[in-house]
Amino acid sequence: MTSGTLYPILLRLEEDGLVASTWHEGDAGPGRKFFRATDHGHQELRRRSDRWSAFATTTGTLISRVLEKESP
Amino acid sequence: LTEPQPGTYAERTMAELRRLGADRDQIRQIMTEVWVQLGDTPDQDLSTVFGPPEQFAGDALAGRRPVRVDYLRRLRTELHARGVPSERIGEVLAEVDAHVSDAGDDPATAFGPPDRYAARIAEEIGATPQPPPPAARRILTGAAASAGTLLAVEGVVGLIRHHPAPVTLAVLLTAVLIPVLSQSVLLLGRRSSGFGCAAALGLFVATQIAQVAVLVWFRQPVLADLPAGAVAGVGLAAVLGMIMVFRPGRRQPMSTPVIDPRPGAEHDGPIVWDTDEKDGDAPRGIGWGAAALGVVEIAALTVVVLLLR
Repeated sequence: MTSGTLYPILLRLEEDGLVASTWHEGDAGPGRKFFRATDHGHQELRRRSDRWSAFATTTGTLISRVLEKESP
Repeated sequence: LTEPQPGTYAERTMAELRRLGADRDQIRQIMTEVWVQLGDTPDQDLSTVFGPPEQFAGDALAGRRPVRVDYLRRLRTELHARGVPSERIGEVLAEVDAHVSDAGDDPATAFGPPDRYAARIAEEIGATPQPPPPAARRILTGAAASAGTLLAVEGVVGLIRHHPAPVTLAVLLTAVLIPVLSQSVLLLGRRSSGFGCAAALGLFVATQIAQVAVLVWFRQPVLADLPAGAVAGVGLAAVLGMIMVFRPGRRQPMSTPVIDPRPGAEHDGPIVWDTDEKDGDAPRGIGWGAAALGVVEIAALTVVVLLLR
């Protein structure tokens, strides 16, 4: 994933209140930006993980049934 | 530290860094960028890449290397044009700068062309660009400018020939018709740039011919004969006034400065991204070029009318 894709996604997550960012001064050169998930972000992550698991399980079951039917 | 050859770009950069009081680490860090750039072709003139060595040294010490500065400046202009708030612009620029410094990437490779990256950011935060003024206002200001030009010429001709300036029906009609037609043609022209350019040139020529025709041949009916000096004054004021109202860049003033949000930035005072006068943002001051063009147009038309009438 390029930086041009990653940073806008982080920006949207921040706008939605799912991540928060802070600047930390670096030893040399300009500072670094650190992102962390907020409480709301953690909740959303769990919710989406559950949905993803459910989706993956359903899809997996479907595929294995199709394969079972096709194999003699 | 490697001592560069005297008189070379690297040597002049290093001398400037020392003069500016850079410490050993800073010099090493900045000179690394010069050496890396020189790596492939040691004889190349880095002025084309980094700008003059003195400016490069100063920019680099302030944490803004010219390669990045150019990208960041274009990105800032593009973000601003898309209605992204100043605070967010500062954040985005700092992100790009920090990432590029850390990873050593070329900003255009890592983030894509500035206009496309700005469009992406604007989309993510749902920014809306300031709409252009409505067509009605553009036509109204255009009408005032073309009426102003015609009146100014009538006035000046009247002053030179010592007679009152006639305000004819044709002058008023033309003043309204020119901007209405111009707007329609330019609106069509926006669909393709090639056509737009030809259309603009065609419009300019057609406008000049129409103005000469109205001033020289379509002289009846006369609505009023007014004092030449007053007509010239009103005409000139209308033209210059419209240029002031309509000058480029006036629509989108940068209301709040774009400031580097990073904690290190306030040590030497916060880096304000838009203090540079040379950048390609909205032009400052009134459009003197446009004003001069307006006056030249009036003068040229006056000469033509004096010759033909």
